[in-house]
Order: sequence, then structure tokens, then C-alpha cells
Amino acid sequence: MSYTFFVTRGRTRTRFIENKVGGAMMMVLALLLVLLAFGLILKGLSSSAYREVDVINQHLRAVSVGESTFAQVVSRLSTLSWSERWFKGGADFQADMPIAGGYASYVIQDAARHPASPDPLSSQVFSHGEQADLYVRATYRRSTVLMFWRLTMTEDSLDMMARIVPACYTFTPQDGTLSPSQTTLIGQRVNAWLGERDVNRPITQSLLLAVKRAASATQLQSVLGFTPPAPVLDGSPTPESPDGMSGSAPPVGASGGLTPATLPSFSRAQLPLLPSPPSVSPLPPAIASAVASSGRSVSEFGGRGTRGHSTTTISARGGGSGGDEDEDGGDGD
Amino acid sequence: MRMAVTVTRSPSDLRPQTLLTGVRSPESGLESVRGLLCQSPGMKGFSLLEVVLAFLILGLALAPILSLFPSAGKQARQTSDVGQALALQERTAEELRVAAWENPHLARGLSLDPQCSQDLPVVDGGSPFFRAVENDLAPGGPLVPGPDSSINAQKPSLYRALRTYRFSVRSQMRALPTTGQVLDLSFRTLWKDFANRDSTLEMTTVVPVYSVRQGTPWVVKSRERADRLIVKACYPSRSGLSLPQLFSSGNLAAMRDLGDMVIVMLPLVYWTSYYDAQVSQFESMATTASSDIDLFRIRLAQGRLHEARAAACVNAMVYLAPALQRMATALDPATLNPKPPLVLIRNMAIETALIRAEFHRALTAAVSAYCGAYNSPGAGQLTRVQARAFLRAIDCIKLQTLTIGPEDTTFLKSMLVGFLAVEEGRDQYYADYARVESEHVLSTNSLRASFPNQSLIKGWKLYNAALEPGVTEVLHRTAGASSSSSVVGVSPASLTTE
Repeated sequence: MSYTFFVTRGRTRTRFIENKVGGAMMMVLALLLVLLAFGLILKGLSSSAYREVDVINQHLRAVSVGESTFAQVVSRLSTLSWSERWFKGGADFQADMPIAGGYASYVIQDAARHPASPDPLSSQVFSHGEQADLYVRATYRRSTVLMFWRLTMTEDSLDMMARIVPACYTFTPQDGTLSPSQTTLIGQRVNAWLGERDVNRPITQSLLLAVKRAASATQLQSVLGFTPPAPVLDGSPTPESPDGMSGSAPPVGASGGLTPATLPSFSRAQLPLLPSPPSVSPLPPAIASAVASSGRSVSEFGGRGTRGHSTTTISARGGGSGGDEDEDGGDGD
Repeated sequence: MRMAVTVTRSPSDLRPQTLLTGVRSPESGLESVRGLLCQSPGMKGFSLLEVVLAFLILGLALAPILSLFPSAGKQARQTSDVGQALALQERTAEELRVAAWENPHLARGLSLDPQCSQDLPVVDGGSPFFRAVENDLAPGGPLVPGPDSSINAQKPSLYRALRTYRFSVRSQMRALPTTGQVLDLSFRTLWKDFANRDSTLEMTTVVPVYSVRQGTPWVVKSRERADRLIVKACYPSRSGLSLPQLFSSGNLAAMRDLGDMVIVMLPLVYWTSYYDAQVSQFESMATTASSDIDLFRIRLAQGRLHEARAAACVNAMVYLAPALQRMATALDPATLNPKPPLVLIRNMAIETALIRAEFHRALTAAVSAYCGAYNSPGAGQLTRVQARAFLRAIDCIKLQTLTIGPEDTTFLKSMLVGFLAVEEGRDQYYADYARVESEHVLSTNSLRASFPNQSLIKGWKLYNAALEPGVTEVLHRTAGASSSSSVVGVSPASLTTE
């Protein structure tokens, strides 16, 4: 590159210019190019980060749309008894409902039957006969989520607010199809998970017991089947705890002087212990005497010699007192 | 690299010479800076303008590029601000969704509290939604009880990030097109951005509103099916006929009253055995429970079982109340044609009276079991899970107060006051629940007025009013018949399994 025009103190120095090859401008322009590229990269990174946040925002909003759909379905279902559910005759499919700024579609149908759980406690919830599977596809702008719930209706509850308890909740891949058959498929998969949990429960329970009984790290290792690594040979041994695990307790500064043996138990002293409710006669005197004259007693409901339930002992601390029942009929005074 | 600096000696001799190093580098680009170093006033520094021009161009080019840095910073700040606002809204939405499950007073509380809809500061406990934040200490927050603080200066980074944020929630009940209601929630977050301008983020969502569901005994939900069961239970020899065919002479309504009592009561009697077996099983499990959590689950399941039995009893009583009243005033067994066995009527009257006692026992046992769960040590048990047992106990005691009695809310008040003391500052929603409930249980009248299922209370009153005259009258009229359930022509199990 050569200069075509150069002025020094008002005079044109053509000869000089003709002999010169300018390097500074080249460097400046090269630097400019580098800076431009750098700027573009920066701008790209910055807007990319912003787009990422926008994607996350849209995803969260899509989840919100899905949960709003769930709320609408549950609210509708909670006003009906199970026998009056609108999808009794078959799956109910609703598509592209505008809700909470997005769109949602759902399928609701009776749950795939789950075999009875061997655990009587789990069987009360997961093997309940009155269950429905709800599959929702929620869309907010360009973000879509698919969500699956298994709903349990507790019709035999004293809860005056009819409630529906979600027994299971999961996301599914976004490319899933929203259809009754797919819902059934997921329901069966959920059943498999629940079955697997039933199978695993005894194992985890026994492991939990063993872990609770372990008094030292060494015992814990053997309970968990942990094989300690081979001792390192290239360093100098620590005289206080050669194996690094079963040595003396760490200095006070590290643990506050607490060892597993001296850890205080979790105190629930702050919880209000529930006092005993006052006892009351279940039958008015006139009725009691009329029933008694028929040869029956109030403790013989159904003539089957049911167990009586006492007025309760509620205030005892430490568990095990709840549900205390004596055998005296417990029918009050 | 050694620097070669050249100087022009005179206008006629423009060949550069080395000044400092003696290294001549005529092709070097650094020649262009030579004008700057001209020491002599007589020297002609023609390249100064070149360099100045270059720097000018460079400066002009750098200006927008450099402006990217603060722009990127502003964008990052804006992104961060939006993220913070979104996090606040998501947190509140999740908490309100949980609260909607657990607190029946949520919708009312949001609509009554004027602070909810005002744009109040998030920090220093201004907004009611951020008066207490958990996770005060890492990791997982304090294990010891005590009031959690708001977002204050003691949490400097969080305080700095959120000090300009204001938050409000607007709620509106909405009836669904077919059945039910939902609560539309609209969140708004306001904050000052990097240029001290107002920014806003809004989000809407929906949470469920629970409504009262009246439990009709399932055996009488279908009249046709119920009629078939009545014939099967009371007239097994005429099972080929329908109930309207049997009672075409005007006794149909009376027979339906009596028949409903039979088919509602018999399954209850049957299920009593089932419940007893379950309770026995849970008791044996409790004695061998391997962990506190298991014991907690067992107590909770026991409570659930007793509650289900109490629910069946109260539903049956409420449903039977009108039938009982009609039976007490109008039903004369002598006028029934064809006549059902008198002993059947007698048995049903007795069972109807005994169901009240059974209801009382089931309710008391449910309260006992739920309180046992709540009072159990349950090491490692989540407080929210544990609090659910408390809420169930409260529901049971409320129903007991309004039905069996005694009509005294002192017990309820003491429970709620203790619960409020624990949850105040720890869990806002349980604290709110306890606060509202404490207002409801000031007296039996206020409790009755706030009870959601008024039809249940009305049914209970009817049942009680009809019970004594009805049972006494029936026992009087059927005095000769011996009381035994074996005369009923059908087993309870066959009724429940149909």
C-alpha cells in the first residue's frame, strides 16, 4: 500500500511518498479486524447467555402452564365422587387449551391396575382402587413439557375438603405423544416402578437397621460392603491413626468435640404435645337405656364383638402411645 | 525485538539513520512513529498526522467495541435481574401450590390480606411472602427450631441483590366451565435496573380450590340398584320381583326408607370386621417397627383407617337422618304390605342407634392415632409430613366437637396455640393456618359457622332429633321380636360385593 497524499507544513512531498510503504495503517486495520472479531464473539456469547436464560424461563413457564392444567383438572375432579367422574366411560382428551399464557393438552383416564403391594402401608395409597392417570403436554412459546401424574381419590376421608392426592409424578421425554395408549404405557411403567420399590423395601429396611446399629466407621464399612483402598506406601505413616479411619477422635477444633457417641439426639421439645380430649358419652341416656333393654350393648356394634376404642392417651411423649386402645369398650360414661 | 528509531536530518536528506541502536530498518512500520521523536525544531515530522489519524481511526473503531463491555455487563445484569424476579415468583408459586393442598383457608387468606396485593419490598420482611426464609445456614438451614429471619442485612449478598425488588400477588376465584373452582394467581415483581429504571415481570398461574364433596353411601347412589339390594336383603324369596312391583300399594316410599337403612347399615357392620383386622395388623406391626419413621407411618395409617370408618359412619348417619325421621313419625310396620320381618326393623333401629357410638369410637381412635404420629419422635421425619398428622387430628376433633361433643373448643384452642407457637417464623403457611383456625375456634358458634360442610351439621342434627323417638318407638312396636342379625335374609358380604 502506498500513500497518495501526504502533507507536511503545507507542502506536498510526492517523492517521499512514492518511496514509502505505510505499515502503521496495516497494523491498525489488522488490529481493528481482531477487535471486531473479538467484539462479535463477545456479543455472540452475551446474547447466547441471554437466550439460554430465555429458554430456561420458557421452560419454567411451560412447567407452570402444566401445573396450572393439573390444578384445573384436580379442581374439577375434586367436586365429584369417583363414581361420577366424567372419564368413567373412557379417556378424556382435551387439546390446546389456552391457560396461564400458554397452551396445554391433557389425557385423563382410569389408572392401569396396580397389583396389591405386600406392604400394607403402601397398599393403602398405591394400590388404591380409585386412581386416575393424568398426562399433560404444556407449551409456552417454543418450550414444551410433558408431565404425568397418578391421582388417588380419598373418598373415605373425613376431610371436608375433598382432596385428591398425587401418588406419583414424573416428567416424560418431550418427544412423547399425548394419547390414551401412551398414557396407559406410562401408567404401566409407573406400576413397574412401584413394584420395584416394594421389592427393594425389605432390602433397604434391613440395610437401614444395620447402618443404625453400626457404631464405628469400620463397622459401617463392613455393613455397606465398602472395601477400603490399599494403604499408601510412599508417605510417612501417621502415628496417631495409622489406618486413617479408626484412630482417635479428631481434635476439638474440627468437630467441636462431638463424636457420634456424644451427639445430642434431635429434640422435639418444641412441638406442642397434644393434650387428651375430654371424654363424652356416645349415646344419650334415653337411647342407651332403650338399647340396653334390647339386650345389646354399645360395644357390640354389629353383633360381632368389635374391639373397643378408648378415650385416648394422647399426651404421652416418645411415640407408641398414639392409638392406645384399651379393651373396655371405651364407650364413655 | 530491538527498536529502531529513525530521524530525518534535513528535508533534502530524507534517508533515515539509526539514532539509538544503529540498526536501520527502512521497511519497518515503526518508521511511522519517527515524527514523534523528532527532537530538533527544524525537523519535519510529517508522519505525526499519519499516526494521529491512525489512532483516531483506531479510537473510533474501539469505541463501539469497548462499549460492548458495559453493554454485556448490563445485559448480564438484566439477565440476572430477570432471573432473580423469576426465582422469586417460582418460589412463591410453588409455596402457594403446596399451601393450597394443605391449607383450606388459603384462598380466603389471600383475598382478605390487603398486603398480598400491594407491591411491598421483598427485603426486611416487607412482603408477607418473604417474611421468613429458610436455609439460613448452610447446608439445609438450621436444624434447631427458632424464628427464621427475613432477608435482611445479615444476609448481605442476598440483601444487596434484592433490595430494590417489590413483590405482589393478586388472586381471583374463577369457576370452571363444568364443575369446581380454581384460584387464578397473578404475580408481579418490580425492581430498579442498572439505570435505575423500573422493570417489571409478571406471571400467572392457577392453584386448586377445594370444595365440599358430600359423601353419599355408595350402595344407594343408584336407586335402581338400591331397590334390587332391598329386595334381596328383605324379601329373598321374592327376588324375581322389583321393589316397585312389591309395593305398588303406596308403601313404596316407606319401604325404601326402611330398605335404605338395611342396605346402608349391613355393609357398615361388615366393614367393621375388616377395620378391626386391619387395626390388629397395624398394632402388631407397631410392636416390631424397625424405625421411628416406620412407626410414624403405622400411626398415620391407623389414623387413616379409623378416619375412614368414622367417615363411613357419619355419611351413613347423615343420609339416614331423613329416613329415621320418617320412620319415627310415619312408618308403621303394621301397614307395610307385604310385611318385612319385624325383627329386621328392630335390628336396624338398634344398629342405627349403635352407629353413633361406633362413630364416636372411630373418631376418638383416629385422633389418638394421628396425635401419636405427631408426638412420635420420628427422627429424620420432615416437619411438614409430621404436621399433616396434626391437621388430620384437628379435622377429626372439629367434627367431634360439632357432632358428638362436648361443644367446647378449649381443647382445639390449646392445640392450635401450641402449633402456632412452633410454626411462627418456621413455616409461614402452617402459621397462617393456625392463626385462621384459632379465630374459627373462639367459640362453638364461630366453629360451626366456619365449618365448610354445613349440610353435614344439618344432617347430624336431624339424625339426633330423630334418633331417640324413632328407636324408642320401633323397639316398643317390635317388642316381641327377638334381636338377632341372623334372620336377615342376606349376608352383608354379598351386599358389599355386588
